[in-house]
Amino acid sequence: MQATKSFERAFLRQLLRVFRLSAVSYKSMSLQERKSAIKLSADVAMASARGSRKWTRGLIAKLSEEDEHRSFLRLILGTEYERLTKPCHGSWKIPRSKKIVRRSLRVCSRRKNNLRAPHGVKSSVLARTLVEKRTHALKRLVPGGESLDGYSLLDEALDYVISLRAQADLMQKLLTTFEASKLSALSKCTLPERKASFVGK
Amino acid sequence: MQPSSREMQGMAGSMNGGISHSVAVAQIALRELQNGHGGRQIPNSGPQASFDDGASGHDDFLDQMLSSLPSSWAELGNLKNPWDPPEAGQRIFGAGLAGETSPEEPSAAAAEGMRYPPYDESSLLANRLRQHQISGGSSPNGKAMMVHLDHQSQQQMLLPSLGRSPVASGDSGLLSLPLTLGTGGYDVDAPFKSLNPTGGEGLFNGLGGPLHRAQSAFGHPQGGASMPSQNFTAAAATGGVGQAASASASASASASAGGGTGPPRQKVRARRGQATDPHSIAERLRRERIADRMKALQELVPNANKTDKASMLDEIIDYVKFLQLQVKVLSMSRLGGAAAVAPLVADMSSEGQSGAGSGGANSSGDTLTVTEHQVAKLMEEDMGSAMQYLQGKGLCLMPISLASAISTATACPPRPLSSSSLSSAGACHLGHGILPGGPHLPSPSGDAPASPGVSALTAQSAMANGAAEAAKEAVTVSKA
Repeated sequence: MQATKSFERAFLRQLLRVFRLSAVSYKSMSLQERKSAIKLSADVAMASARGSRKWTRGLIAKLSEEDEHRSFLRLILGTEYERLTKPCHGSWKIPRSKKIVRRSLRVCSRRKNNLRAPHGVKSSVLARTLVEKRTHALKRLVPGGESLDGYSLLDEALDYVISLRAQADLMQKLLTTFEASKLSALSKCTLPERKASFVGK
Repeated sequence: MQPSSREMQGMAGSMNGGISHSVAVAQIALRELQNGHGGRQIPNSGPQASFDDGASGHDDFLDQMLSSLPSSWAELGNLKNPWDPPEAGQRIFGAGLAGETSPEEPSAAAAEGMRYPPYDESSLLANRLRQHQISGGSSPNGKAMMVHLDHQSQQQMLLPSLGRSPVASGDSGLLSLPLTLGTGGYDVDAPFKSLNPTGGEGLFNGLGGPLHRAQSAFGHPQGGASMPSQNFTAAAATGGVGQAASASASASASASAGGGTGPPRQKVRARRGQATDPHSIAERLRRERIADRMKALQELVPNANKTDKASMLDEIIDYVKFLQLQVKVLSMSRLGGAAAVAPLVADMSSEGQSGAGSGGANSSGDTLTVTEHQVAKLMEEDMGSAMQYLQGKGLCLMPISLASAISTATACPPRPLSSSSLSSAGACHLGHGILPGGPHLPSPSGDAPASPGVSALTAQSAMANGAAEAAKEAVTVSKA
């Protein structure tokens, strides 16, 4: 599964816009500050490019926790900010009839009790706890994943992984482009014969 | 009527499970048609009128059906149905009747403790199938329709056909059933439709069996293909449900889950069955969806050949952490300097010169070590400015391995000046080597012995020609 071209384009556009807006402040920051500022910009650009998904909302909510970020977010996102931060319909779960769920829970517990007596084997319990532990870890990693059930968690994780990969690739490409352009710019303004050597190559 | 009601009452305790029941239902419906009720004439207008009326009109329809029942029971007896077809068949109508609150079957209904709207649907289905089959006609389209049945086309077929249908509420009752069957567990979420629904596939696998038998039995009234197509797909869906356990699982699960599909919202509830069934059905559906997502994630995450869910989750977690770390590192690296610098391309020349000037002022002898210290200092603040400073000095940064490769390549050059070895002191802990080469050359401080080594060599800048060569090398290296 690949990130769509439109997503990548929107992401790049947003990222460049953010960089342009905040480039002046980058000079005065320390390394740590700049790192967090750039990470923030990249995350915001990714979230705004992706649109409305569970994890984008969670990400923006997490970023909005600090006041200083909130004004930045509002600036970048504009009208989308309000739309993304308002609580969405949380009931994207599989619609289930209550009666069936209740009945199934009853049966499930009955079945468990019946099974536990004869077997006494804990392998299934062990497997389940392993999976549960990892599910919790994944919930912590994926933004906004705390309130998702198993299936939606996997779904959001899938989308999040695709977007993260696109983000890393894009930043890497941007980096190399900037470096190359910087070098060429330097060469352009310093050594004309160097440029000739470039051309000769 | 009497014998059927008695039989139905006798049946009360004999059914065992919703799946088998639905299977029986579907099989009965189809087999009845297959065996043919050749002589039976049910006027179309009556049932259709009843359909038009909606639920209220079912009574007339069911009366007609029940009158035609006894003729079919003999044929049903021939069926090799492990689930006791006559009883099951009667059960359909019993259920339908009970759903209609008919006085004939209160006991059976009460005994079952069932909820009947889906039986309304299935009974309606069966009835309409019989009608159409009775009213005669050929069934050439059956096969064509079967062939075209895949997930999307089924839905597409259903929707336009239903749009064409003149019948309103009765159809919608049927509509909800096949639509939910088609979508299986992928109820309301449009984004998931693109994925292959295993529930739907199970459904269609199951369709193969009864369809072959049913298609011969289906007739198409002159009224148009819309009705029979609906009936066909709906019946095929129920037939598939009857055949495939998973299909019926998804059907009943979706029947229980996705109630709001038809515009006159039928309350879709679980199929008749014991308590285990909805549980197992819902769980199976959920497991299928999760397995689907796991497969998609498996393609995405590298090195994910694990079949175990726990280890697969482990890989996913590690991959997410890795990607997040990668983004963090990228944001920390020269991107910051690059981002700051990119809009300020015009200023670079001035910065470079100022950097060189400050570097020159600081030098107290060994320009290179001073340069290295200066570069290290600059690198802590801003990689971009560090790079600019170096380039102002005619130097550039490169990994030591690369520099060693270059130095070995240029170890025995015709020109002594172009030999270069790599600087160590400042570069060691930086992990980079500083290779002379660049527009501005500091005054050559003598040639250094060209001893290629990994890191412990000092570099000396070269003279003009050599510098040009080295500059080219440096440029190509830095560009590589």
